[in-house]
Amino acid sequence: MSIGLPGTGVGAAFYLLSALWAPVRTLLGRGDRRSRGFGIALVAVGIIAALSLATIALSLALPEARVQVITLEPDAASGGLSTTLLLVALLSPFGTLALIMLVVRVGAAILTRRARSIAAPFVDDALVGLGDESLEVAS
Amino acid sequence: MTIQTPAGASRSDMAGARAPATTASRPALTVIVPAYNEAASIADTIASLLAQTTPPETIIVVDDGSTDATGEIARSFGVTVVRPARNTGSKAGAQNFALPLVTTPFVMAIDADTTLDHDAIELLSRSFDDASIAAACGFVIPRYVKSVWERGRYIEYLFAFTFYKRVQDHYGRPLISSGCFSMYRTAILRAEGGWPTRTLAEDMDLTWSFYRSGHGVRFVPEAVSNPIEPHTYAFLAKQLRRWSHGFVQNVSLHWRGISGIPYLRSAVAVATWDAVIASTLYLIILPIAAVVFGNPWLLLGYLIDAPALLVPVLAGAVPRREVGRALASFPAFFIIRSVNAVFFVEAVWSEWILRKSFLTYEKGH
Repeated sequence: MSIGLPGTGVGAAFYLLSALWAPVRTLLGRGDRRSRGFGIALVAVGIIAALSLATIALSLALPEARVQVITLEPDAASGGLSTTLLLVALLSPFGTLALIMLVVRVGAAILTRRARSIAAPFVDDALVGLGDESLEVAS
Repeated sequence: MTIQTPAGASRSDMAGARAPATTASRPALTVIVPAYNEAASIADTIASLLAQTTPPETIIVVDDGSTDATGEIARSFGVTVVRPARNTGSKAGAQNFALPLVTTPFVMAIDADTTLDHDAIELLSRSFDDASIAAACGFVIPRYVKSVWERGRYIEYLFAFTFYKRVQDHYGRPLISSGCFSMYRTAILRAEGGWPTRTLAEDMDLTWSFYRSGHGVRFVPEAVSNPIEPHTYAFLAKQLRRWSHGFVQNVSLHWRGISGIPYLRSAVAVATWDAVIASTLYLIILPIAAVVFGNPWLLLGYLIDAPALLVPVLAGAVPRREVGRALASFPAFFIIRSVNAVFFVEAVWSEWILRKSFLTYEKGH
């Protein structure tokens, strides 16, 4: 099962960064002995290279199209605006990803604190908030 | 010979419950094959199990109320065939029906339309040398790649299993131990209550439940399975409806519980964002923007990531010597991705906005 839009969207940015970080994680001694992460990092580098080459090729082959795509105006010729919008377009998935990660982290901290504060001795932390009432009380 | 099982159903051919020996030593493994009207494919599935370098100790086919010759064909291979009094209603239900009969420490579930590479079980079994591992899954690649839907799925799987799933495995959190081909520790599976039937994506539900219980899951890319993927839109629609609603149901069910599991919670959050927001932007905003701004070049957004997709796809295709097939199938991916997005947006709308939970299991491969 693939969820959402495989290959694009924020998911692509997430897995790209995860793959690039994997060998660093291994070198820092936090990796898993099963997978050192160099293979997936190589694929990630290949993806970045392919995207860069495609962008350059598109710019050379279709300079007018590039301006149109970036500025949304067929007759616009502002290079400065183009560059700004291009950067925004490239960075927005990563900015969105950073925002999602921040929300997830803060949300997790709040949930953990709340779970601890309401946990009775017979309630299993791991099951708090499962959504299925019958599973909330540990056996 | 017919024996009454604890569940009150007939169990045939107990004498033939053991698969014939072939080569190497057998893992202490029982394979459960849930099957409903799979006469066309069940023989290939059982044959591939019997031809493994380490064949399973026992094979149990659950003939889940088939109206065709599924049971007879399975029985002809000398494996155990059990048949519930009536259809269990889902794949998970059929698998659970056979679970009480399992006496081995490991159990595997495989779809009745799936074949395995000859060493798949042997490779998957090695994961369990690590005592923390509760489940392991392998690489999935469609057996037939002919229709546009099969081609799209072929590229989707090449991409996902070559890149996304390997990344998830590096961080110790494969998002799903695929239902079509996964192996489990029997005791842990039983402790979880068997395969859950509360959502339409029992494999995702079970995987996340394992993580919440502190167990590990592994992805073994070398262990390859070949399911038959939907070859028509009608079958594809059933499968995507099940998957999309199953995902949304699992997020609703587990979101608090997985909030304490770092990489998993991030991967699920990102997947949810892409399923909800990115899919909506992709389907609605992009064409509207192209019309509003009178700029058809904006529609390039649908293809702009093609180079990025092609790298993992080729990385997966080259070792399989399927570069030609991958390149020929590549355009179909963009069609299936758009269809995928439609189903996920619909599932979110139905489950979260309209509060209508879809729980009818529709078989669609």
